[in-house]
Amino acid sequence: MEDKRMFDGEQARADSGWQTADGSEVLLSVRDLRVHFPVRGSMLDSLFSKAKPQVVKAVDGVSFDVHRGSTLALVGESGCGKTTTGRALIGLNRPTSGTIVFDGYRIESMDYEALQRLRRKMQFVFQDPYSSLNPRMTVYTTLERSMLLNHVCPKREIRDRAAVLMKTVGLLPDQLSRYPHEFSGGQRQRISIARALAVEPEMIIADEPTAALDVSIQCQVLNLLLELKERLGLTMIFITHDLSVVNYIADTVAVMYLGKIMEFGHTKSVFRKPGHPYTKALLDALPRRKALDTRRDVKLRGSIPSPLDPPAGCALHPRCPYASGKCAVQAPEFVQRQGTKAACHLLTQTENGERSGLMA
Amino acid sequence: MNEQQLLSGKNERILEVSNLKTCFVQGKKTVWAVNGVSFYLKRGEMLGIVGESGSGKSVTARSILRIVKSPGKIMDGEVIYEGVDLLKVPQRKMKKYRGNHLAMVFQEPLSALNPSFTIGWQIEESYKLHEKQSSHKKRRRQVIEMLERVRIPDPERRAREYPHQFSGGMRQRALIATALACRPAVLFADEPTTALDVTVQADIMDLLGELQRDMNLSVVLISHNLNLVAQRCERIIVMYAGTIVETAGSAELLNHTCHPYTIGLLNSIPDIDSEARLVAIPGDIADLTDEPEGCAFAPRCGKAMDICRKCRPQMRTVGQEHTCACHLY
Repeated sequence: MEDKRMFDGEQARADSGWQTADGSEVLLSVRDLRVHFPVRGSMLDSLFSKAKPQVVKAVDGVSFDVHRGSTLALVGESGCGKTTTGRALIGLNRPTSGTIVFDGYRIESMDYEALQRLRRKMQFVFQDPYSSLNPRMTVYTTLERSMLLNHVCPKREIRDRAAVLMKTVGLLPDQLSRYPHEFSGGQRQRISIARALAVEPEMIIADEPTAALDVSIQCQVLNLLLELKERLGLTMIFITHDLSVVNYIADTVAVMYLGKIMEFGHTKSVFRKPGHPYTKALLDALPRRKALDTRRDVKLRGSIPSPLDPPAGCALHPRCPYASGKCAVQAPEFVQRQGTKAACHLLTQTENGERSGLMA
Repeated sequence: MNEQQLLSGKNERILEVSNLKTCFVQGKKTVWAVNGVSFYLKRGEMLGIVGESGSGKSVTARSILRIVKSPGKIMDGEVIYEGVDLLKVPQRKMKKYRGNHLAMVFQEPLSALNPSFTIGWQIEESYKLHEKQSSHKKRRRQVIEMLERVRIPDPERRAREYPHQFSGGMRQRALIATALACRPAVLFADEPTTALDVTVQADIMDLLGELQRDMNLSVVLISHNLNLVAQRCERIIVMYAGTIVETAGSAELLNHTCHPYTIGLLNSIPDIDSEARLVAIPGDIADLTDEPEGCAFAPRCGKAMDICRKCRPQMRTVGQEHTCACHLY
């Protein structure tokens, strides 16, 4: 309750109706989030050319809700804007437009100090544990810093809490005085997780936390995150490109492509009956143990277009095997299906009976 | 089937490695990265080598090509290629084999390609080295042909571009073109798709499969991704701590897994069709500094017996083309 008071007076609660139909509480709500990065050409360009300065639309109109205690996975190929979305949620990238409401507080318009305080409730675990830990700080200093800066507890309790944190992530309290280089990749990622947990956050955003790790270590870290989520009731946003990891860890999934969400819904429903050709293409490309064939039903043509000049209409249409004339002109709306929604013209057409059987 | 196999020489063993040992000496420490590896490669097949980092899979490939970096040293063994023991060939004559007969695709295309030369120049270099008499014009034509072969669109323009102008997938294609330029018979692909997206990974693997069939190439695919290797390769070698623990056909390995390490590996990898909770292999990867007396996996193995700690298990046949080094069998 104490931390709630810290926000009072500075940031009014944006909304009060935070109960949904099924009784679970929405902790984070993102509406029409856009993060655009201006691209600076050379000085000569800006002096002599009349061309408009270009803009990379890294995130372009993303909306989703995350319920308390659930895990959302943002998944997509590199360059789809999943990391930028994650960073915007915690204020590391400022959104160009759109709203982010976390636990009732508007994040997108917060000033630096308010963001600092917010990070007590929301923490980030970075991809590369080799570069995200300060090599000159012992593990204890790393954890202590985080607790001191965020006023988590009185100074005299810090040492005890650090020891408890180490045990929580499966390390020994004796290892507190060691430096990051003395640990293996998996252990370092555990330290990153301990640092995130040090401030007792409500939500953790993990950006590819297992991408740099070996398969058996990846499994340990994934299980640790699952266990922490169950035990501490954490809400999690998990950013990854690996669909099999999504299937293992996430309750809901948002499949992203070129800054937009293509399909959103319960992980099981999305993976069992993908509505969007892009989701299907990703699933088809994944090596699976059940079927050892390499046949792909949906194969995308070419490669990801430049985000400087994204295609009009549906962003996927130049690569999509099912694209029709309409796809190049009109951006598709989300179509609700069982447990999922997908943005594809194919789905509306199927309902009208013009086309069917493509997306079995 | 049999006739076809005979025609393509499918059962012919193009490469036979026996008791290969490579170690790295650091001061007083000796790390046995590859410790008695024996396997064969059939002509035209795709063989997968799977293992965690530090299991010795890359060093095995590098030892066969004899490009182990100092302080690594090949201590023992035989690598028979076309009746010649490559480990006994003098280093300067190895150049004749590398690129021409055996080639390798490295893990990180950005560091394997030279950033200051065009892609075309780098592919042409292989022809310069191996076909000394050819003219620049002829070589250029070969380069374009090769780029076409690996499905790089607009090859004439792309040949004049530099590595930084290529995307990750395209770089890997260019690297495959460099490796295949002189039509080698054996290609080692060391984690060729690790840094790539799943869709690009599938495209690159499709390409490798196609080239393997078209050029009757034998491919050794080195990867930590057991799912990928099982999908793409006919046979799989599972390595742990510098030794081979299990070899089998892909389907056989998945359906009748024998070695506790392979079982542990399968249980720790998320699979999209499975709902089961993953189980991590307990403990850390083996320390290779001193040769273990018994089975290297024994300290982490749930089924370890007394004999496992005393005596190193031998490879035993447990099924058709299925061998396993474990005292349980």
